[in-house]
Amino acid sequence: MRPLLRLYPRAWLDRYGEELDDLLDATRATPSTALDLARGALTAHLRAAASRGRSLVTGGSPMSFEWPQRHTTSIALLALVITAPTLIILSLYAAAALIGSPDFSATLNGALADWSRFRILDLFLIAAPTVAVVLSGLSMLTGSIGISDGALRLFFVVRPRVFPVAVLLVALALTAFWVGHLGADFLAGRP
Amino acid sequence: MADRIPASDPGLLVMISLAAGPRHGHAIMLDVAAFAGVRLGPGTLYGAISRLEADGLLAPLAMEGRRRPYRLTDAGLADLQRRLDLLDPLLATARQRVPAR
Repeated sequence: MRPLLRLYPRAWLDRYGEELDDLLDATRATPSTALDLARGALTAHLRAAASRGRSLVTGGSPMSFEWPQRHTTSIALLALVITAPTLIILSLYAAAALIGSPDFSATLNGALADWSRFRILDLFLIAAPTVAVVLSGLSMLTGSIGISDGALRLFFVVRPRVFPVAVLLVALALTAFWVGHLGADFLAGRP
Repeated sequence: MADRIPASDPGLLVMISLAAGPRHGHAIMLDVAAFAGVRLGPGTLYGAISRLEADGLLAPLAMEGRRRPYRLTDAGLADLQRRLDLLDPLLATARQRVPAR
């Protein structure tokens, strides 16, 4: 039941968390209790947003639920880790081409030929940059659900930061490479 | 057949409980269950407490271990009185219209 407490706003938890935690010790853990806590957390977020008077629509109702992006760096790091194998392999190919060493290229091709037997690895290397683009983009996205003029509306705001932007650019470059490479293969009729 | 007070206003139930004197969350929960037959969930109870505190209708007292008692403020007492006054004519009308058993 305690993990549900983490759904509450931090300021709310600082004020009431210990008392509520104590109350949970004396309360039977049931699905309805869990639901009640989740509903309480949502209400606390709505009240916090309303008390801040934040609304992204001028003249709209201050009733809005915002999800702040607290893990920007962690998500961008995850994106980098996911796309790192593709980055390393393509960098090695680029280095081989720049050096112009036949031995280096042959060694690299030999190693990758072994891996290519596993189709899933190929797919991962191709898909990873796209996944990283999505993740690094999402890491900078904040948003809110608000009620304006009686209608439920979604608002999104992008807050750029250096590291996620750098990861996004690298992932975009790798994605562009794959699109160009695979597109050229397709047009040339190569499998 | 309804045999319980609807828990549509947890804040009112909390204030009625605190009208008898300061209580912490668990004691409020037990008291409300005893006098109204309503089991307030922990999220609902603390939602009501935080709202009433923000509105200045109840005030926190010093922590007792991990529990913090609350008391009704003067504004809270006045608000409770006003709410009960609003209910009086409703109950009176209902009693007039519903034949006594």
